[in-house]
Amino acid sequence: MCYTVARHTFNVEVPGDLPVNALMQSYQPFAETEAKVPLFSLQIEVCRKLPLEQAGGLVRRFDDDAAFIWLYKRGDRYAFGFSNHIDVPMSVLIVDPNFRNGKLFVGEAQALSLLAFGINNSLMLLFALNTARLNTLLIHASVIRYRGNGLVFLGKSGTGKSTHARLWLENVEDTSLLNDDNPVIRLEDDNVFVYGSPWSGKTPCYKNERIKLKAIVRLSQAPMNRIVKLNRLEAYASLISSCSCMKWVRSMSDGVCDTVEKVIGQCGCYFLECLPDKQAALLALHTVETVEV
Amino acid sequence: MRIRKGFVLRKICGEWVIEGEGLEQIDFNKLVILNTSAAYLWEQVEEKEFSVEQLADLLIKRYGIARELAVRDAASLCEQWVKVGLVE
Repeated sequence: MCYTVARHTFNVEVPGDLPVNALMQSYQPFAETEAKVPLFSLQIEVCRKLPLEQAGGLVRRFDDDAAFIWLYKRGDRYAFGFSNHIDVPMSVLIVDPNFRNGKLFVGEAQALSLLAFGINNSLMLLFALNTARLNTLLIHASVIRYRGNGLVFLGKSGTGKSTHARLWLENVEDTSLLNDDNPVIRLEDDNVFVYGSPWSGKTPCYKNERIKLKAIVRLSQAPMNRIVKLNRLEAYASLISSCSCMKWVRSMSDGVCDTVEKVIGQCGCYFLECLPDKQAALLALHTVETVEV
Repeated sequence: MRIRKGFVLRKICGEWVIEGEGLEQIDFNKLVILNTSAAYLWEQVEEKEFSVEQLADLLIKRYGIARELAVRDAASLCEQWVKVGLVE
């Protein structure tokens, strides 16, 4: 089955003995109806024992919130382990050296949420790797649509991106949520768009839509509300730190750095120190309204 | 001295910037801005052992400045690079 996210098409093969519909529910709005050549492909295989020896030597483990990712390398081939627990990977993704094909091995009789966790992480990874050189950024952010334009909220895990987005929805007219965790920014000709995706964290918001990106706001918790416009280099640092990328692969980091530099030249970038209150949303609204005309 | 593995020098928004991109520097989490002469020195000594004297020689050769000034500048640059963790 093929899906298209931010105009990039990929293929996913789920074996019939897994609950396909439940696993791929968030992907339904992105189902591709036309015959297209996929940019990458993910195959899922249920196995008794995860092929950890085949994955190679452990390079390191990345810890983020309740998500743990193991990175393995064997020759020029990378593999990734995924789990919501620090002990051991619950699924293993082995990727071709050119990143075009991935095979995800999952253990037998896994809980639906764990299976979905492995599949979503595999697809996000393959998406980021395969689009790094295609003017595309998979980012960690919440995005709202305000009067037809996109506003992106960045911040470390736990900063309150979703909370701030919700404050806009509750207090500002003509707003809606586009995505709450992993939207995609794409540069097309001289326009920058932000796209919804099948990956939206804890909020089920899977919109196959794109809107023009107007501003990017980095959030940080503070005892008061204050907003500043970032200069270009600050804006670059702000956005690049929220992009998914294997930055140790030079060709990919070159692509991502280049796209980030172009994107920040096309929209307003801000740093908002804020409380989780209505005034924070109104301050951001007022600033973006008056500065970005 | 030697530049640590995993750093990349890029020209971003018109500035010379060092980013930690290799797996060795994945948690570096900073951008370091270099002026043109520091970026020049960086490019000259990437992947090489170097000393303050060698950096001073490079400055003299390129900018024709007095040795005393070149040594002072090179020493101060090295001190900063070590402090930030770019050099070991």
